[in-house]
Amino acid sequence: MARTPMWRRYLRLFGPDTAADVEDEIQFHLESKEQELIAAGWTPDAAHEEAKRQFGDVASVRVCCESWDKVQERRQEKIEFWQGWWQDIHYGTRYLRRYWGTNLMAIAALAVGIGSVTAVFSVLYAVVLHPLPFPQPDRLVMLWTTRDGRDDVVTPRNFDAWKRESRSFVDMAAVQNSTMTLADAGSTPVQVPVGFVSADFFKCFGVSPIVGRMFTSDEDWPARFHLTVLSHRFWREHFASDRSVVGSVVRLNRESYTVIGVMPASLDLLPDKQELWIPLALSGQEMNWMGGVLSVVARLRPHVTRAQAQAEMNVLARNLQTRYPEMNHGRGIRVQDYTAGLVGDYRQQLWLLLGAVTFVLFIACANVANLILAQSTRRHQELTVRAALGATRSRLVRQLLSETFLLAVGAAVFGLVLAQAVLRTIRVLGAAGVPRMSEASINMPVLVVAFCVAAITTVLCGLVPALQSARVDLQTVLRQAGRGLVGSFQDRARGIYIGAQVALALTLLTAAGLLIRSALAATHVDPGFVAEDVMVARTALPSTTYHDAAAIARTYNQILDTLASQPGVVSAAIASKVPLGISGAGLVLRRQEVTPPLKEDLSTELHYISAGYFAALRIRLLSGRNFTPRDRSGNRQVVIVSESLARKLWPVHNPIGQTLRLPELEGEGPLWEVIGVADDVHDNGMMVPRPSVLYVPFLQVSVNPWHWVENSMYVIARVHHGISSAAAIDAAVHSVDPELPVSDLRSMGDRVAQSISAARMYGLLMSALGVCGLVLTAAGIYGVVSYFVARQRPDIGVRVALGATRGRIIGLVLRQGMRPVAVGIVIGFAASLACSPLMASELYGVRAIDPRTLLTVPALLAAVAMLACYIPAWQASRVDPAIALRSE
Amino acid sequence: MDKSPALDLFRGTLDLLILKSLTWGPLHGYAITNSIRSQTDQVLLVEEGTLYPALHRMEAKGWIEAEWGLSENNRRAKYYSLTPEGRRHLRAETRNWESYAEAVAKILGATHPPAWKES
Repeated sequence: MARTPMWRRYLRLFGPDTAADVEDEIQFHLESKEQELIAAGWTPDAAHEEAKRQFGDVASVRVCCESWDKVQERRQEKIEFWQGWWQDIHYGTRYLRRYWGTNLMAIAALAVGIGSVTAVFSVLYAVVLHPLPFPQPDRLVMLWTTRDGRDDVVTPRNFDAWKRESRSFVDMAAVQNSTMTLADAGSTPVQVPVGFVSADFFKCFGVSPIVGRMFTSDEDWPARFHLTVLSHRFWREHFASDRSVVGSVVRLNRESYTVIGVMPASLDLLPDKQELWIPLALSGQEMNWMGGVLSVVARLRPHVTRAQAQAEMNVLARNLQTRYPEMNHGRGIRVQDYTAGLVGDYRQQLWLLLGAVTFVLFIACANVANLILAQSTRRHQELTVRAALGATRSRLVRQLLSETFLLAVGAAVFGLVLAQAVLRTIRVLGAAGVPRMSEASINMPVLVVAFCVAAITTVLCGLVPALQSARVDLQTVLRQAGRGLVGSFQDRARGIYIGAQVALALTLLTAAGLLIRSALAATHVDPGFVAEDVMVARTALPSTTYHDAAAIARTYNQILDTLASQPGVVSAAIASKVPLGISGAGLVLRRQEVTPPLKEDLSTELHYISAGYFAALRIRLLSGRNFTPRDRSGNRQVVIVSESLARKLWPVHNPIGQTLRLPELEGEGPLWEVIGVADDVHDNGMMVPRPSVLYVPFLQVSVNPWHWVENSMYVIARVHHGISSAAAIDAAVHSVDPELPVSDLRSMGDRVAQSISAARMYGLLMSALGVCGLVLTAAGIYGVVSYFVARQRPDIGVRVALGATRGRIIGLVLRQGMRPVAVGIVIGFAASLACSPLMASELYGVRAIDPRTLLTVPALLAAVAMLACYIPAWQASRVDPAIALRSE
Repeated sequence: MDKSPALDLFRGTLDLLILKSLTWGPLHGYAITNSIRSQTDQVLLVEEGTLYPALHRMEAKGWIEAEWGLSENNRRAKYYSLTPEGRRHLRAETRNWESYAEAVAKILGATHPPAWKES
């Protein structure tokens, strides 16, 4: 390919004008011909005519030439474009090699920034942004009954009404999450999560079985068919992915279930991790349950928006309130986006984290921009020569930017390696229950984002230095023979970078500080119980064998007695819920059922416990007495209330001796008498307000309400300090019935630690990023101040020679360095105040505007910045005037 | 563009003539016609109607490149010169033309009937 000489390009500065060029050329030809003819003796007019005649059809020649010129123009543009890039890359690599030390540093800083942005984005993508692997996942919704603004599971009758009477959904299905005891031949029984599903469940998700078939609506009927559909996971683990599995038998709760199909792996992503599905088959009796048991999922009808569906359900909710007031009083219905519900709080946390890593990246960018600025002073001569040889300013800017781009791409490659390592670590550590976290990987969208981040980084780091460097004043620089043209523009840019870094770091550190304070607050919360030396496990009595209250009570009493007699066990208890355990039951106290009557209905949590519960967990009884084994069915019915419930029910009276009715438990049964008030307990997590709780002795509860918590009775054992008695619960349960499952066996201490581990982890992560930002900022300040000192060395030398003291020199440098830092702190402070509302929902025990954090962090930052300035300032004070002046 | 075979043959020859005339240095279009006419003792007349399209086409192909300059009579004129690519093309085409001409000459200059037989 012919190399076009440089000068040729400048003709195009005015833009190509092919038509005029062709016209000129033809005119020249005609005139030359005319003159030749005139010289040969023709009259001017005749010559004019003859020249035209000889030329022939001017118009067609013109058209032909112009069209060829256009071809030529395009070819020329292409050549110049590629030649330009080739040149840029060539210069770029040369430049990277020449200053490899500094550039390596820049690449490392940017790699950390780009890597962390990429890692967080890949998690965000997998967890929040990546659509679920179902057809049209954005049409999937969850439907909840709402109680006091909180989502609650749905009663069978409500589900039935919603399904019949709503028009907004193509399909609506219910699932009752449960656990069943799986007894494979020869192995110990285990509890497996099971979903009891209505017939439309799979249709809702739009999935079809990979083997066999789904349930038909005939099978969704009272006579509970013993059929099951396997999850892909269960099929793989228990049947080795055998395709002839249909017709096999699975033993669940001592009954045989016939396998009719296997679902694809996409359903393994559902948060409840169901292993098998069984037809829901609601019975007439179950239809009358007051308590919710069902999670409802639905698919919106095409062209119906979620808001429209919500509007319809609002009307339906009011309608149901009048029709079934006992189960719908004060309740609404919420239509929730399925993905949003799945991801929950993590969405906000991940976005905040992405913000934090972006801040770190920006801080790194400012550092690199300063490095490039410093380098460009050294390269001034080179750039000036290039400009003198005819490179335009935009051409120089492009060249400098492509150098930075090479830098950023290099950093992005290292960053991706880094992100991959981070993701692998996360996968090994286990993702602390974040849904879909395991899917996070470096995939196409992540690569695209990494590339875009590299491009943005290029502009952030490179644009200002490039614009500045390309602004070459030929004469001055050539005359100065390359001695730094240190314009105030450059210094201003440096100051702005420092200020920006400080502001970003301050905002980041403030956020981190708040989260740390919040995590500390959570650690220091008094949970209301003593977690040390308590072991907890769950067990279940299958309703197939244990179907009346007497049998259930007898069995649990046996378990309790056996457990209490185990060596090392101090006290034993059973309860429908333990602090931090999964779901409990709740109920609504109607205003007329309490004496004296309430102003309005009140909802409360309901726990069935054994007499030893408060002792085992060391929950304080504030007044009255504890339950005793004599508080069983047949005797006077008694309850204990939590302090907050007592305050709400009887704000002025002494709660002891007051009575209330609990028709949800006993129908029009006798009065329940309050015999005690227990301290409030952090039942639902350290960072969640303590709920009102109504404690009922489990021996006084009839069988029907047992269904509510059929599969979640906890067995609790307090053991002697330091004795490991994990086996005690297991042994006690199995000595009563070897086929009973024991699951989720963990110490209470573990549960507490885990409940705040996410918050602590999040706080630590933010702090790590904050420290990262702080170090980068300090390095940036140090670099720039050192540069100032180096440049002003002769000047400082003169001052020293004229008698300036060391203190004065240090003061001078400090003032110069700290000025942008001070501006940055002011801006960062304002930014922190502006950002704090975003943080509010992530905080516990700390207000978003926390004076202590807001004062400590700027002070810390100022101290670090001062140190970063002081080192070069001290070096400046050691300048030997003789040497400094000689170098001039 | 016109692709009739008769013209193609001529166009190939014209390209060759233009490239050759440019080997002596940059020329404008008018000078090229004059140069060809005088070098062939007025035998070959290059028509302007084909010369200019040919020049522009060859520029687009990268064989020649153009530059505006001043003519002998101080007028702005477009001067064409050879690119290395054009020079290469000229060499190759010259060889082709010579072997072609030689082959044609052999036949036209034959004094004996061809000595071939169907075997």
